[in-house]
Amino acid sequence: MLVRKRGVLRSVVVALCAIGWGALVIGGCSEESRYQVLSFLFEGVPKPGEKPQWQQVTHLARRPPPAKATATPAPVVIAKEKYPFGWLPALLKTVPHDAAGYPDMVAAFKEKKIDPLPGPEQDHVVPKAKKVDEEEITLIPEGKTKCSFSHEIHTTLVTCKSCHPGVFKMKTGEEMSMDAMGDGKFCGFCHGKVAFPITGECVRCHPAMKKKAAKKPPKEKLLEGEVKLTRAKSSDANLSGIPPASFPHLPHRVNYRCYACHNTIFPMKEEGTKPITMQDISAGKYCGVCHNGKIAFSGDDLGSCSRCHP
Amino acid sequence: MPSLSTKAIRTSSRLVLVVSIWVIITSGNGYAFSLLSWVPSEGDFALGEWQGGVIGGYEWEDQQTTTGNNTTSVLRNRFDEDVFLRNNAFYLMDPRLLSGSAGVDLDFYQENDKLNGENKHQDGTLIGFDVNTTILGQMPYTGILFAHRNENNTSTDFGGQTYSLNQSIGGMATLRQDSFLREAFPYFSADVYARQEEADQSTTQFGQTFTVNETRDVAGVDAEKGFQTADLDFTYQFANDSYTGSTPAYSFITQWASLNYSLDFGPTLNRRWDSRISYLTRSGNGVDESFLYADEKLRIDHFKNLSTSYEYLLTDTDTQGQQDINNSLTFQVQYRPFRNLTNTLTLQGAYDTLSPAGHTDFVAVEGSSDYTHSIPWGGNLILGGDGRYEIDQSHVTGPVTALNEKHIAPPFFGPGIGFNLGAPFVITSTIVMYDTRGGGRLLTKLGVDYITQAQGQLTKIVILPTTTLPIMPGDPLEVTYSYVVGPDGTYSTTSLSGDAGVTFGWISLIGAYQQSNQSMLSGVGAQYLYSTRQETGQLNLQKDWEWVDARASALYEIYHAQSQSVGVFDYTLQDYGEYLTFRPGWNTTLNLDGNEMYTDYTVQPTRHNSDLDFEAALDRFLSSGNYFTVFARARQAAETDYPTETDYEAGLRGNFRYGKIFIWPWFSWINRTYGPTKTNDPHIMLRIGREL
Repeated sequence: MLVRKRGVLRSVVVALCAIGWGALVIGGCSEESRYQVLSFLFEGVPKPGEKPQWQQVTHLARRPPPAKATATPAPVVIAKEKYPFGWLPALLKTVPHDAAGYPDMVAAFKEKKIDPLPGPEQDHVVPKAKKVDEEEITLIPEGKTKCSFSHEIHTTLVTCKSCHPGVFKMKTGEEMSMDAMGDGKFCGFCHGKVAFPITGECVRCHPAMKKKAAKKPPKEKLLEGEVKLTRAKSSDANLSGIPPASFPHLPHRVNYRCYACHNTIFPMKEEGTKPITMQDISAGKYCGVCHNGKIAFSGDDLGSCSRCHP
Repeated sequence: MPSLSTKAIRTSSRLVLVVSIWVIITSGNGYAFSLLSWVPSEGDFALGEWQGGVIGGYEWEDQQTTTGNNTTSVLRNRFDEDVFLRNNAFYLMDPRLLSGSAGVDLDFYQENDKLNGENKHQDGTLIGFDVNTTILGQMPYTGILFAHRNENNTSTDFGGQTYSLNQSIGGMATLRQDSFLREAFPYFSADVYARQEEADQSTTQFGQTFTVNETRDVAGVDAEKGFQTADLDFTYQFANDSYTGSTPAYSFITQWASLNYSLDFGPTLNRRWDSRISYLTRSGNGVDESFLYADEKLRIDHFKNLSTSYEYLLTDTDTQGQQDINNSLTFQVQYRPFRNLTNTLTLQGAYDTLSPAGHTDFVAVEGSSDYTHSIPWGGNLILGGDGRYEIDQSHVTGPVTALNEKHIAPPFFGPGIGFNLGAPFVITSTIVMYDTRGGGRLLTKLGVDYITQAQGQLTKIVILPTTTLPIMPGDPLEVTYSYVVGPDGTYSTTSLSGDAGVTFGWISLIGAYQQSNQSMLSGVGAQYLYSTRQETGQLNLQKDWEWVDARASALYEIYHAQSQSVGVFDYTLQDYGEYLTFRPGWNTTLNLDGNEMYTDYTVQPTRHNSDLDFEAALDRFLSSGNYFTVFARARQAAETDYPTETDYEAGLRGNFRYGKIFIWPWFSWINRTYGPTKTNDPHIMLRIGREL
């Protein structure tokens, strides 16, 4: 044991001596030779003529300064009486429902139970869709029950570009099927997500099919309706602990026509839309077109964070 | 907590069970019936999505244990019928006002056991429920109310039964940063909570019943305040614990408070102060202890490659009349002259007062360097060295007691497999160990449940595979023991360590050396000084292909320890590991895992320990979440002078779903040999259910 201990100590002394002699030899070399030797062993060696730089450390503040309280609170322009607490369930009680129990928003629109606005403001300029001749379009699949839908009501609510040619190519011969719609293609691009589902009341699209007889008044059914925004994995917002935003689509749809938002403010793409940041919203883009404290609650209001980031 | 009588609960639950099954059967077409199609009308109270199901389960087990001519057999047949029903996302008036989920679970079981030829029958109803409500969930001030109950009855080895009941009720109020205080008191959030918990557990085995009933009332507050360059956290918790059952009843009140403050300051915010203070006090029947912890730390980043830190740490532990006050100071300089070289110098001192035993103190200086350099073929060279010199003074009379030192039972019980106690020179006759699973405190016995093995100056606890008490792998354990604190005088400790290695993308080779020597400078008690030396070599291989991931490692270690009181303790250790994942496609994965460890204790009386573990698992994923897994495992632990433990295990488990029907098959077979004791245990479980 003692022998081994001396052996280790001897090794340490030899190593220290070697380092000392090495330092002396390197110290006696020319500046160029010293640089070549040191840069072979170490990384970040200053070049000949350069002085080692002592770089200062600067840390960022952990938070921005808190917003200063205003002497007189800014007046809230949101018309609270227009959307009182629970206004949507109360409204849905008044609109017609199909036999499957889904609210029939087209019937409600025709009966003027709802009146979706063309834009967020009175002077808002929105692209109006051209009215085409066909009010009713009928599709006749081979060997299947024919399908028809009101093109007029669609053009009243959405622009041509919302559907053509992205969802429906403007030519005949496309092979449409219920399975494809179930996968979110064709009519399924909207129906089942933000409009009544294709698995609901068949007669709404296939008039020849037998209407389901509701023995009892249909129960209220709501669409999923909740739009959850995805966030890129590389986004710094993932580090903040704030959950991604989500919002109910139905109240927006009741109040505004589709083209008020699509495609001018939000392109109708499942993926690949531009990243939406709080800076953009504060600058009046995306949600900030309406959510600016005038038309609807503002994203800059700290009290409203959890309304979109639950 | 008010509770209904057991008879009333069981009668009503059976009634609900019968009515539920009747409703399901008489709901027309049994396959097409779906709760999802039933949605109540809109009103002040609206129910959300329904979820429910009926599950039928069957379990069969035939366990036979043979020791010589004695055979113990357990034949189990168990049926159970389970009905569960829950509603998710119901709300009152508006989801933003009050929303929640609620569910109830009724499990009616019948079990026929044959223990050594003697029939035994038992049946019962297990009731569970949970209610969770959120009030003003989207507002920055949210309330949560909950009530949970879970009842379970499980069969254990050797015909044992464990009944457990867990229930809790409570609430929490949360204030988030965007509350009405945001302008007057920005960046402030808080939680206030209170709950009552009850955990009852009763285990019957070999004719003995151990019962632990625990009730716990907890209330507390967590508050956080953020500043532009600082954070302040405050926590307070009050808990009232009460235990009754097989062990003597005891109860205690615990109060715990902590205050943490962290501040960035200086011209470029390059200085950071961290302050952490916490205090815990626990008093009651048979328990009297307090713990104070204060840590003040200042770190200054002078430059990007030069920083210093200063730390003062105080701990004051007062347990059952024994007090330990420890003050320590640490100063550290870290300097990085080049990007691949880091040097650290540490100065440390501490003064420890042990009442009534005496006091110890030490001063130490430590230096370390770490160096890395890239080498050809994408490799990296790693060099590190550390040296420490410490002078200790000890003036302690008599042994010191370590109270309730916490450990975890190993995942596998076998010869040589265990854990070391924290202090050296333990007086083994003073060891008292408790199993504290589920909040209980069951006394274990030396020689029956565990044995001790000297590991030089340390002491190892090895749990015997035949422990009669239900110490389960992974159980929390608490050990109280006395140990000799060391010499009475002044001694030095010199520690040296170094490591060198090369790493490439697929291979790494690392060697390490570490030694520590203690020398008496003055005083008496040199027999309690010890020296250790450890040499390690390690080789790691790793390669990923498209279909195959492969890893392997080999470690060789030489350990030497010496002291006058226990002499020399030497061993050599070889540890090999292999891991292979094969993905041939078809959503199938094959995993092969092996580990072999051999330890040779080279000092007389020499002994040899080996621990071999091999496992293979085949996972096949089918559509819609359906999968099955087939697995096999073999494990052997052997040590000279002790019986060998050999386990073989094979099985299958799966999850299949066809529409609303789901099937969970589970099969396992275990064959265990421990010396003359052999156990054979085939076990089948099948659960079939239907969602409503």
